[in-house]
Parts: sequence; C-alpha cells; structure tokens
Amino acid sequence: MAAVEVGRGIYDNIRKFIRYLLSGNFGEVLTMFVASLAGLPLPLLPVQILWVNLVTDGFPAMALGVDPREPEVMNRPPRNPAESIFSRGLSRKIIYRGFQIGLSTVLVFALAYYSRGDLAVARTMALSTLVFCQLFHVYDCRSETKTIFEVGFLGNKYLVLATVCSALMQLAVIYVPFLRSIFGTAPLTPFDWLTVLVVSGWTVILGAIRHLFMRPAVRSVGTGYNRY
Amino acid sequence: MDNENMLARWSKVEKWYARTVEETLNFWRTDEHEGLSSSDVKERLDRFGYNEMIGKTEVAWWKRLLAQFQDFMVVVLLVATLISGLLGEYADAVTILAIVLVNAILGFFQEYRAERSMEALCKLTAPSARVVRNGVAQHIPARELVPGDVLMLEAGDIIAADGRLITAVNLETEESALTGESLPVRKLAEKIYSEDITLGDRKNMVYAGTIITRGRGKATICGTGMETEVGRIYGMIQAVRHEDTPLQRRLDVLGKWLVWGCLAICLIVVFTGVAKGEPIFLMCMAGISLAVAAIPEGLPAIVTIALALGVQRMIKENAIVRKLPAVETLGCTTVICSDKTGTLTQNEMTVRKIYTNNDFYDVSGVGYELKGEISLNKKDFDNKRDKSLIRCLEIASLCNNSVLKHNNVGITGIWRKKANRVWSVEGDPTEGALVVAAGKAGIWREDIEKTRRRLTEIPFEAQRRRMSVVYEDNGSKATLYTKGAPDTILELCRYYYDGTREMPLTPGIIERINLANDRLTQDALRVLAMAYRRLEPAEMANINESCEHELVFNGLVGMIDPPRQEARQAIVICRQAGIKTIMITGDHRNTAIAIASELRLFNADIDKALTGSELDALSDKDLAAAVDQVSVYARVSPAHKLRIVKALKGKGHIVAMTGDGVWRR
Repeated sequence: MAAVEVGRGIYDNIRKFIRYLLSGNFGEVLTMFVASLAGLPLPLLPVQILWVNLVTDGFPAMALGVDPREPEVMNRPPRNPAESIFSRGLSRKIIYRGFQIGLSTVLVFALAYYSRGDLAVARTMALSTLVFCQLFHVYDCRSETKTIFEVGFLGNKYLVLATVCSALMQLAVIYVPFLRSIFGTAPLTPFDWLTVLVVSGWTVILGAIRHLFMRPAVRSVGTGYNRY
Repeated sequence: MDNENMLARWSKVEKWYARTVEETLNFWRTDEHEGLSSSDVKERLDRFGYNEMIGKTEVAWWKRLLAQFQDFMVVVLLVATLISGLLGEYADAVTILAIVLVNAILGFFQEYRAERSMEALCKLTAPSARVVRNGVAQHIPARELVPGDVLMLEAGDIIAADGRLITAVNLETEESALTGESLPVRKLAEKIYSEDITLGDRKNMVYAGTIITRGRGKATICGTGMETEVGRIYGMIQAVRHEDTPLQRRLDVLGKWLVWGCLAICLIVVFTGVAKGEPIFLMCMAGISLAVAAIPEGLPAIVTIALALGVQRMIKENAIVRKLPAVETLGCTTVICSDKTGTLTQNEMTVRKIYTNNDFYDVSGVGYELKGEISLNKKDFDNKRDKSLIRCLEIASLCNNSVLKHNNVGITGIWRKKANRVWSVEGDPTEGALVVAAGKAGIWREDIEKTRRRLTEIPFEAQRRRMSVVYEDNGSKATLYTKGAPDTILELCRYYYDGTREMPLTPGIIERINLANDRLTQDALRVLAMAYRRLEPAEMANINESCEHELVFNGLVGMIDPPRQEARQAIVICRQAGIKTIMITGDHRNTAIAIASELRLFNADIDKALTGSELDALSDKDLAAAVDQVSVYARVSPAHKLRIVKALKGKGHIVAMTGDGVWRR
C-alpha cells in the first residue's frame, strides 16, 4: 500500500516537471514568435535565450522532481493506466501558462522599448520577466488542484534553494559589470523592477489577495481549481 | 562433484529456509568444520562465478559528459558558435560555450546521481569474508566466496553472500537494506520454516548486504553474486536503463513532435527577422539558441531518474518491484490482494473467550501485550468465585513452554526505533496466547514454579493432538495437566470440574460442552481444551502417555490471530483511493470471514467469500462474472492465487499482491 502511494507520488512529480518545463519552454518560444510577428526587434539575444534555459530548467526542475507527495494522493481514484500523461487538464494548463508567460514577456518588452527607447533595457526587462514568471510558476506546479498558498512555499527546501539561486544568478547577470557586458544587459530602475515583478507575479499576488480576504469555505470553492 | 546435477537442482532447491542444516550442508557437499577444499572452490568459482554484481557497465565519466553534447541541436549551436568565434565575436562565443558546458554538467550530474542511487545497493557488499576452507579459518576477498563455503559471522560484519545458518549464538542482524525493517532480527539456526514465509521472517538465513549487530554464528553460503536477494534487486534496477516504460515511450513520441514544432517556429522567427532587416547571422544564432533552449531534450532522462529514485524509495517502503514499469503502474492499482497471516493480522494469537463451568468469559486486549481484562457478562471476574476459570488458566500457564518477554530487543539505543512490539513470545504463538491470558488474571507459571516443581512433560505430537505436564504437589502427590484438541481431550475425560467439586461427565454435559465448542468455532476462534487429573502415588514412578486417562474436564479456550490496527487503517485509505482490498488465505472460511469483517473489507450483504474448492468448481467464465463481488478467498493454494489474479486482470484491474513481502504487477 505504501508502494502504491509512492507510485502515485512519482507519477505526480513527473507530471509536475513536465508541466513546468513545457509551459516555460512554450513561453520562451512564444515570446520570440509573437515579437517577430509583431514586428518588434529581437526581444532576447542568443546568449540571453540560453541563459533563461539554464536558470529556469536546471535546478528548479530538478528540485520539482523530488517534491514531496501531496497528502491527498491516496484520496483519489486510481489513474487509468492507458491515460495520456497530459490528461486531466494538464495540456490546457501548459498552454494557458505558456501563453501567459510568453505574452507577459512580449508586453513588458514592447512597453519598455517604446517608452524608454533603450533596447538593452527592454531586453533586460524581458529576460527578467521570463525568468521570474517561471520561478513563480514552479511553485504553482507543486499541486494540480491547490493554490500556492494552500500548498505553502516552504514544503520543498530544495525548491526554495533552487529558486533563490536562480533569482540571484539572474540579478548577477544584470548587476555584475563583467557579466552585464557579456549578456548585453542594462541596470534597471526600481520602477522597472516593479513592472517586471508585477507582470510575472500577478497570479501569485491575486492568489494572495484571495487567500487573505476570502473565507476558507468560499476559498476552497473559488480557488479549488488552479487553472493556471 | 557432479556439477551438472547440482546446477540442474539449483533452481529447484532455493528455499533453504525450509530445509534442515543437514540437508543444506549435504546438498552443497560441504562440512561445518572442514569447509570446502581448494579444488572444490576452484571448480565452483568456474561454475557459479565470482560473488559480485554483474551487468554493471562502467562508463568512464568523461564519456558520459561527452554524451551530453551529442544532441543534434547542441552540435548545430556549437558549430554556429565556432563560426561566430571565427568572425571575431569572441565574447559571445565564449559565453555560449560556457552556458552549453554548464548545461552539460548539470545533465551529467543528474545522470550521475541516478547511477549512484542504483549503486548504493551493491555498495553494501562486504570487502572481505572469514571462511573455513580445508579445515582452516581464513580471510578471503568477498568476491571469492562460493556456494558451500562455511562463513564465520561476528558482530559488526557485513554479510557478503546469502547463507543458511549452521549455528547462531545470540545472533542478530539488521536487514533494513533488504526489508526496510530497522529493528534487528534475531536469527536462529535450528528453526525450519514453511516455503511461503517472507524474507524478513526467514530467521535461519542471513543475507548479503545485511549487518550483524550482535552475536556470532556460522552459515553455509547458498547464493552468491546475482543469485543473492540483493543481487536480484540490483539486476532488476539495472533493467531500468534498458527497459523503456510506457511513459517514456509516450514522452519520446511527444519529444519528436516538439522538436519539429520548435524548429518550424524557429525558422519563422529567423525569416521574419531577416525580412525586417536584422543581421542574418544574429537571427540564425537566435533561432538555433531558441531551438536548443525550447526543446526539452532532457525530459526522458528526468523521467528515468524519477523512476529510478522511485524504485529506491519503494525498497525503503519494503516493497519489491519485480518489473520497472510497475513503478508508474503501481499508482494505477485498483485491487490489492493480501495474505491474511502477518499482513492483515498480527501473527500473534490472542485468547478471546474462555468457556468453563457453563460460562463464557470474554478476554479483552490484542496480541501479546499484557493489557486487557477477563470478564463475565461485562463484569470483572472474581478470584474467589470463579474457581473454575482460575484452574483453567492455571492449566493454560503450566501446560506451556513459552515465555513472554518484554522489551526483548537485543541491542541498545539507536536500533530500537519502533516502540511497538515490545512484548514478544519465545515459543509457540498458541502457547504464548495462553501465557498472556493467564497473565491477565495474574497467573504466572514462573510464580507457581517457585513452590511446585515440574516433574515431566509428555510433549505435543501431531497424531496425539495434545500435550501434558506433571507438577509435583505438596509432598508425594502430583497433578497431570493436559491441553489439546477439544474432541481428543473430551474422549479422555471422565469427570468435569464445576468450580467446587469434580463431577461425573454425563452425556448431557458432554452435549453442552460440544455446543460451547461449536459456538466458539463459529466465532472463528481456534479452540483448545484444558483438563487435569491428580495422579496416584503409584503412577508417579512411571509417568507416560498411559496416564492421560480419566481426566477432569476443565474448560475451553478460544483464540484468534487478531487483525492489525494498521491494516484496518490501510484498508480505509485504500478504499478512499478507489482501491479494493481482497483477502486471500489458507485459513478456514469462518475464520477468514470473521477477520475480514473486523477489518471491514467484508460486508455480508454485498461481498462474497469463495473457498478453494468452490473456486475449482467455477469455470473461468463464471469466475470472471463473480470476481468483482468476492472479497475473501479462503482455503486457497498458490495455484488458486494465480487464477484469481488472472480473472481480476481480465476484468481490467491492475492487481498488486502483498503478503509475501513482494509486490507484483
């Protein structure tokens, strides 16, 4: 019986990192695709694209693979062995989130580019948005039915460590002069950062507001299904 | 030595724990004191190979690191980087190289970690072993052990191969690597077990990779290398790498789709960019980078790692997975077939009811724990009034050789992690139950023996179905105490004890006793009768079987192997998880149903119970029709189990088996 539980936990974790990896990658592709269709300049330089991949797909995805299983795994009916890995709404979640990540990034890039006229700043903001979107999203991926606040942030210490590392690496690329010259980035103003964080974290902020202000009973109905 | 013959028999005679020491030694043509001769050893090394895990493909680390660059898009990127380097874009080229390198190292470490977790198992194997060869004790490298070697065991040793114990002195081993059980296991050389016992209960065996925590002993090796239990697990984990699970295959298909989708989009990005007047080279690099970044080439690898780690975790949970895809399919399990004894029940007999002098007493408490009361009609028994009960329990405790132990955990401190099972019984579980029941009334053989001496014992034999002991009374008198199967005992009785006097056993009384016996059996209890007789001084010179006559019937004791509390919780959890639990047991139908009802896996209104013979009478088609309603199978043999599992699978169920410590798909 314990083995059944472990088996379900493993399958869940596989679904978790597939969800995380694919929606992140989908977002990256979409960023480039939409920007090029919209006639914008290249939103990310080649090195920057590779950087996003390194920072987001490396440690956070690995940490997600060893995520502790949810306590409810044994309250669900058995999975049909023939079902696809993407069933039960997973593909929809991936596509939704991919669009959200991709469009947010393009939006930030376009806004920065037209308001500031500085391509390096716009690219830096796009880069940061893309990275932080995914670092927030990884916490969403820890459960398919519950919100971040119901699952909690600190349940998987590897994940916390991984995301903090990735965030610091991202800051280093922007603020260490040597790296800045290599990656073609530019320092951001506090307002720029606010924009980046709000755009990449708005689902989390929204969730927090709901979490704080709704009564538990309502909340479980309201956010019982985590669509994004 | 007739090696061909030996090999042919190798596979048939694996269950050494079900053989005597003699048989095992004879089979391997070895001697406890002499060990093997050098020529034997040489021959057997040729025949059975070295005592090591095989199939380990040691790939040099740099080869593995290099393999990380073999991905097609990465190669394209590297070529493009080289070109940009040649064009003078040094900073870019170096950065891209660095990132690709870091990515490769990350992938490398992921694989490396998976590899490590698999090898953790065979790391357990010992470097050297002490054996007797040519009559001399000597140290040899563990890989040179062969079947038949006489291995010396001492506290602190890591056992290097599987062996059948020859002697064991206070021997305890820690087998958590194999069974997940962290408590040390007491090992006994003399015992012989039935063939279907679980690995953790084979106390006359020692296993490779386990550690001796206490005592010493000797064992003859009967399995080396991949033929050890740990070797089998290792072999199975090895199979991970070569066997794609359905999930992995599906991911491969997905991966191909993603590759083409990504490449198409990348091309579009490149073309629109170039059309808009961006530099061609920059756009090409961006396209290639995007392809490298977006194609999740690592996905199948991560799945393998997750599965491999899963196997390890399952071994920790004491579940052994025979086939790797089982790890992911286990989660889909819809039916669990469970053995009764030891899995659903405690494997500790407990007295539930005592019939004496026309009264039924209830005994509360579970297992060997000395907690519980004896009561009559919900009222505690009375020491003075219930004389008949007291005498019955006296017989139960005197006509008994088992010893109740508290905290009989050999080793101190860290090993004693689990607080349960502090009560244990040395000896037969049935007798243990009697000791505990008597103890609940404050009657102890150890106390009685302070004033009375046991003169002799007429031991239990299967044909006699009874045993007796004789205790000396004050002076020259003595009393014979007998316990045994109710019908046998009743035949030998001439009187019965009514609490004050011994009265003649009339047909009416016999009828009443038989009715009481039926009532206890219907409650799924196993019943033993208690009787006694005061011996004439003349008989005492020669006490034997012939003394067991004209006995005084005293009472009936009904006991059961009670369900485990954890099992009940597990069944509830399984039901919530949509998993049906089925009990399969060799026990009688009534016993099985009673236990199943207590565990709430059987509801007389909905569920059915089938016995082995009923199962034989059903055609496969009829069985398929019935199988969904049946939750208890009683009186079944291993062959029946296969039929049941087949029928369930035919219905589309994913079946897991428990009980022999092994989960199968």
